[in-house]
Amino acid sequence: MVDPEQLLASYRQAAGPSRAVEARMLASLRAELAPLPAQPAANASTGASGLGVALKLVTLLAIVVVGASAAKLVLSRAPDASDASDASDASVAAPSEGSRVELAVESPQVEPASPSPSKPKPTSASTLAPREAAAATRRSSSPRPRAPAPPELAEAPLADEAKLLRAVDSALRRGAPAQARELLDEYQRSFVAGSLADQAMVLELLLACAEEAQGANEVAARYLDAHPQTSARARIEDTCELL
Amino acid sequence: MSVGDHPDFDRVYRAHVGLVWRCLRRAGVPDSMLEDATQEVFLVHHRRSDVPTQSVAAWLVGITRKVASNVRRGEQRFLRRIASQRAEPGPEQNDDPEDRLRRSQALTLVEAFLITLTPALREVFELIEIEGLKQREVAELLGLSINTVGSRLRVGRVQFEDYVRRLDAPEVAHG
Repeated sequence: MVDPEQLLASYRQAAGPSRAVEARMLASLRAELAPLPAQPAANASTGASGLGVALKLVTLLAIVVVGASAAKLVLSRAPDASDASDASDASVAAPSEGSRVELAVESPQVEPASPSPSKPKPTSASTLAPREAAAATRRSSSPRPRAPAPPELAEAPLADEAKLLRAVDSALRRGAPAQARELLDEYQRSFVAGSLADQAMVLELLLACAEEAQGANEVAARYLDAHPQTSARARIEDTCELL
Repeated sequence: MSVGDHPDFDRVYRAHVGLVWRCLRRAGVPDSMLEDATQEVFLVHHRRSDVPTQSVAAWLVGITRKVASNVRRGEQRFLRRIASQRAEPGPEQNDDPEDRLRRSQALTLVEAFLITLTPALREVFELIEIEGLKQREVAELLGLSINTVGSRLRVGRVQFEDYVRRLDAPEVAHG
């Protein structure tokens, strides 16, 4: 039996920084707030170099992604309908009045893009006010001692799934359906039979409604009919304007 | 100005760094930028003279939301890279594998639940149930009446308890 309080306590630990990261940030803050002996003249060039690397990475990644064919959400009408199917099939049958709206995910054809071999730390200088840019560049450009990479854990794929779905959810919530679509496509390529497929299905529905895809509202209504107990009901009804 | 001139800085940092980190994380700041964004929040705290003596947590949440918004605005071009970054922050050196697994599962389960909430419910649930803010603080922070906050909190709690109850049932997979 899961204890709600214990679950939240474990979540707080897991979603927060590790002690090592806490200590590293505090040390960095102390260094940042301490009087500087001299303004480093190399700051600007270091920042420019960091941005250059970031731009190169983005360009490289764009080439990789553009070259790949993405999985697509298909909302299509077909004359021969079948009965409602379970959400675990990632498909939901639609209204029974002779036409059918089907939400289907094509089989992924593409291997997931390989993660970058190195993980360069992006500079925050571009995201901050100019006044803080120099300081951010200094923080980002100074090498921080990093803990050695942990060994692969059995739970890592589940964490990866949750992380990607969190990014989809975040993009949806800030009104960026195009980015949500990209991330969801990435999820579908990477996790063909993921443990969180049902959460992904809910996000797929919400995204289809946000994109105002044809038939999305009917599909959402059918989903709610098939899963009356889903805790996502209020959000689906809200996003898909089912009320 | 050194940190030594602000003896409260370390105390505030240690008491609230987890809250700031989690709020940034849930606001969509990618893992690769969490450290910089967290530090930025505390730098703002250090610079500002209007930090309240009471409700520091709520004040920090307000700053965190602004910093997260700034990060997101400048971060669009890195969105694809978020998806390709698989590494979570590294575990503690002496971390017990079972504890790590338990936390990882809790992370997944709670995040899966949060996805199902409407934005209005989620905000209140996160700040009160997860971050421990008071209803009055959240009402002030979000510009809501305390009755509205209380009402949303009750609904969120009921949904969470229902979700946890169904974790042992087969239908939990339906979110």
